[in-house]
Amino acid sequence: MSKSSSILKNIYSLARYNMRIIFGGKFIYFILAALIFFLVFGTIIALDNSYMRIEDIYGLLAFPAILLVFFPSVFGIQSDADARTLEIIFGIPDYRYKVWLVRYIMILLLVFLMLFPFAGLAWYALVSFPLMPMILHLMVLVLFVSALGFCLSTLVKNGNATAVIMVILGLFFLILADELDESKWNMFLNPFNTPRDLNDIVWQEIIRQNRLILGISSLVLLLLGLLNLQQREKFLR
Amino acid sequence: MEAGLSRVRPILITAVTTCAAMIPLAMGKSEYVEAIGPPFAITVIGGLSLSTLLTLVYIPMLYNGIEQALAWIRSLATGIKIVLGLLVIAGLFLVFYYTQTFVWKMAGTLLVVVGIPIAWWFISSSLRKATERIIEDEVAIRIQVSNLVKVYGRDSKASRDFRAGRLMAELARKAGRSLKPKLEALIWQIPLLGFLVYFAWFYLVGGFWQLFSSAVVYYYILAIVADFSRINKSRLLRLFTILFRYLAPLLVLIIFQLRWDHLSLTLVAGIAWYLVVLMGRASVRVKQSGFELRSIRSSIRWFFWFVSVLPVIGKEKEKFKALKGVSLEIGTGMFGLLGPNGAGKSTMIRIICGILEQSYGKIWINGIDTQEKREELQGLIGYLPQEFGMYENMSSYAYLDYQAMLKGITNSEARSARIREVLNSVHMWEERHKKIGAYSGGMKQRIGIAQVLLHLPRILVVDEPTAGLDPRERIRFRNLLVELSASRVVIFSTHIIEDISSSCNTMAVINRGEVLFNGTPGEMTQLARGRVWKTSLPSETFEEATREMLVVHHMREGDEIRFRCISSEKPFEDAVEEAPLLEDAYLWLLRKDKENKES
Repeated sequence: MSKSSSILKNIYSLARYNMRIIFGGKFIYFILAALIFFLVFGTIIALDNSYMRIEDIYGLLAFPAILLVFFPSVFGIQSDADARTLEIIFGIPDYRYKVWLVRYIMILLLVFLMLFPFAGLAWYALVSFPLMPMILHLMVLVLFVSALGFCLSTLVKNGNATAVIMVILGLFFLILADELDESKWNMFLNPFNTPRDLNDIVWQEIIRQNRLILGISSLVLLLLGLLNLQQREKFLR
Repeated sequence: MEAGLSRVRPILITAVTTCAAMIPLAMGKSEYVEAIGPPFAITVIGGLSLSTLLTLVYIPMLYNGIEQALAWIRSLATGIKIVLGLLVIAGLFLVFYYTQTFVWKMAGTLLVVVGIPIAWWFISSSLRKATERIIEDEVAIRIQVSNLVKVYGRDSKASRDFRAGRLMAELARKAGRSLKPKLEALIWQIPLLGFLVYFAWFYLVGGFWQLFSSAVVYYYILAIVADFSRINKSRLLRLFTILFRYLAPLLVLIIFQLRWDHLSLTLVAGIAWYLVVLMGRASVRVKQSGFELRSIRSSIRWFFWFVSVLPVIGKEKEKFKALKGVSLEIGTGMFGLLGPNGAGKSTMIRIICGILEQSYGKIWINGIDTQEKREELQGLIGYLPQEFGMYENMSSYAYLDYQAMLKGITNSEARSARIREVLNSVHMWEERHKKIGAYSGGMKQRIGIAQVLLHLPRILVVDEPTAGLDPRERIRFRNLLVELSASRVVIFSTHIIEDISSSCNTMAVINRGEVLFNGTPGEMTQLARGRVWKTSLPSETFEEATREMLVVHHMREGDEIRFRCISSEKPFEDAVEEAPLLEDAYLWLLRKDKENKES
């Protein structure tokens, strides 16, 4: 077997095993839930509005994307604790990268790939928009939410409690979104919702800074999560 | 630091007396004083408090932090120092280029100078990696365990520092040197109390603040009384404490109602106050050692349960010392760790593997401190815990394939061959496609063993791996470990003596967190020489005669019972001395340990 085909086979096997572990064999239910959510809200928005705008699509796609990424990032460590595999994982050298970082990247890749059919459906059925920029902007939000979930799960060490905190933080950010509006600090800043009273160059700069803030925050949260995972004792009850 | 410590007293005296002298001015209400007095006095009090805090707390802490940071920077490789230096210069350039005002320049400079090294520390700490090359292949592994202590439920460092004073007083009391407060040390609190009463009820005008200040005064008086009661234990003082605790809030609430005429507010405040008082009393009770919820009357048990589960005031986790200063040396070969259930074997193994942190003591692997290089050393250690689970929705083959990938076997053909080998060695090859959830306990244990055999690092640690295995499998696995121990350290924890006697070069017996023996199985067997006896007794007298004896085994033969026992002296006239076994020595050690502890 050639080296490249061996690598591909390894990647495929690793992806398959991790998917089975992350979603506990219930992956199809998560995809279905996200799809149903997307279809229901897509229909409601389409019927309520006489014409659709690109900024509505961003909101419409953001929720199923967050839904897909929420469970694995928040409940990832809890699932291992429930399966009593934590101690075995802690015995693997570089477990933080080989186990949880790999799973984290896989979730992001999965959401990235899942966004293509979702966005394609919205593009075909609702309104035409540039697919790639839309997906990339959504991925910045997904990256931040997943990094926050991952970091909190390593701090709280309980999936349910992390989920509650994430929901509270989500509500807090949503309330702030109204106040912050077009500020670069708005986590839910919709890059396709160009304000009428703002110069386009200024708006582009705000979006750039917003994406930078979310990206750097995600990186810091991810590193903090990895640092927390070094404290093995705190994860064993 | 020492200079700072020696100045604590004069600085505090100056600050406190100045602040106290400023209070009348700050509270002044007369016509001429009101305009300038309070702002002046408040500025002086605020400024002095802040500067005292800076002098006594922040500056020493900052200095200490800078010392540590500089030591860390000095320890970095030259290349990293140069990179960090260049980044700081670039950062400073950006700050001075982009910022206009002096304040932003200052803030930016501070952020760059402090932030860049911190960011480097953070990134390098987060991304630490395991490496097998931390110890050269040709160098034999040697593990040194020195005075290892593990206390479960130990408070965090911050909590321990916060309670340090109380802990010292407690230790002094235990040592018979009670640190009683002196009467004169408490006297000065009386004028302060008088001031607080005046402040709460005569100076403040808002109802809420009066009530709040009264609550502060109430708890302050209780604290003073508690201090006095350490000097004077009279019944009168105890009676006063009880009356004050329950009647003072009522008195305050009556005055409050008379003054503000707001019954509903008074009732709500009263209920809240009494609830806090009762919770405080319940907290004292639940925090007492040996508190049992069952000892509380059933009608109020729910309240005590509620208090016991609350953070801070609730029941504290019982501390438990699992290891009490264990010291050992472990080299290449098979090292057996023997001890009864709950002896501390798993705790020690978990600390060696870096799963748990020790409370005190050190472990060195070839002179490398495991606390400092924990992540790096993980590359040398393979570990099978005593209790473990697996992903039950996977087949054993898929699970082992995944584990093999995690353990660095990236060549798929080599991986398949290795999985086949380990599954054959535990006789699970035929079952490889069944889901793990469908396996029995023993089969899961065998898959666990197969998993640890996938990749063989230089230190192999297995915690009670033979539990749940049938005798054939147990012997097979034991033999496999012996083969592996020829070129590596194998730490094998068990409570099955036969496993140790038939496989280990060196061993240690551990009981109640202490090492009772450390040496070879042969040396340990010799401990029981001259103490193992064999004899027979009539069955009707056997129970009575051997009540105080350590009987290893016995067998009925007609009307007699033939038995083997351990005793330091010949127990019966017709008793015959027997050659000792490891089992005899183990039981003898445990018995001796129990007797020593009881005496």
